[in-house]
Amino acid sequence: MIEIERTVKPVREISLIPLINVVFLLLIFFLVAGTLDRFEVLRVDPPVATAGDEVNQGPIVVVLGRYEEMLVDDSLISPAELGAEIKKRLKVRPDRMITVKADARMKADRLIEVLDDINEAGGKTLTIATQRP
Amino acid sequence: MYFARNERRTRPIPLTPLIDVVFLLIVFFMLSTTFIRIQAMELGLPGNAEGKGVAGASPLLIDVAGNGGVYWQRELVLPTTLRMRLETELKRDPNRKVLVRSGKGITVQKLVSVLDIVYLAGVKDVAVDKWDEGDLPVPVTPEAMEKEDKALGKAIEQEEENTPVLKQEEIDALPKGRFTPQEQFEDMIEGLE
Repeated sequence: MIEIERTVKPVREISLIPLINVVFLLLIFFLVAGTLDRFEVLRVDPPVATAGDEVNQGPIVVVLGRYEEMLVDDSLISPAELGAEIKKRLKVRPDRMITVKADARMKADRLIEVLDDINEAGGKTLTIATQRP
Repeated sequence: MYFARNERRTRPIPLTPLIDVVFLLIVFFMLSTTFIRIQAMELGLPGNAEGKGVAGASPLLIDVAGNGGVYWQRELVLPTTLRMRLETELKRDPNRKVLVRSGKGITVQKLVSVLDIVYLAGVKDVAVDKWDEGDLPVPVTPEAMEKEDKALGKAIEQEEENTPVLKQEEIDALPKGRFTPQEQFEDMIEGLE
């Protein structure tokens, strides 16, 4: 009987180098392309607009939630306290920019009232936050 | 004498822990990064402009009504028309002010959409104010148009009555001149000859 020799293939390990290459690429992509989100006390959805400049959020941020909750620099306040809070923050530098971050579904009347209050308290540079579509 | 050296086999560095860590980092960055960029629009309030004393040109009025209609100087317009009119106005005066009034019950998104059009048209000085829709323009009805036509007709008749009619000798006394295109053309030909 003729014996046929079987060719035994050596079992090679799966090469991990290409995997690591791809994973490192992904890591670098997320590091460079994304921005780390600041922790938001109240999640709001700013209105969509194509105009508007990309600016750093002003030093004073007034957040207006969908149900008219109001936050100044991440602390919850009642609408009556707004004027005093703004005045307190403008004492040292009166020209500080104030950004109002209002939810898109909120009533515009209320936003304008808040803007008026801020204006009365001495806020000169007012901006409203928007997002790109 | 011969000492057997215990030769260490060169083993490859295990990569599994490295991959574990890298995957963890990827998952962390995927979950924590956002690609939304927050932008900002600068706004004025009607009260702000008082001190500057820009007399003369009153601000252009844009009203956003609660029913969704947008009014340009009290005239109902489409958003595209709004932008065209704004651009025409800005050609005349690039520093023209605009006052956007927000009607009852409109959302911030609606107001910002109108502000967006205003900014895209190139307006620099924009103010916002509340509006109680008290002076909402009345839609034009056929009856109203007929009434206006009649009034206009009467005014024209009145004007005609008041215009003095010249007599023939008065017309003859007027200075003579050759003013019609035909006469001017004839003069020109004569001059060439």
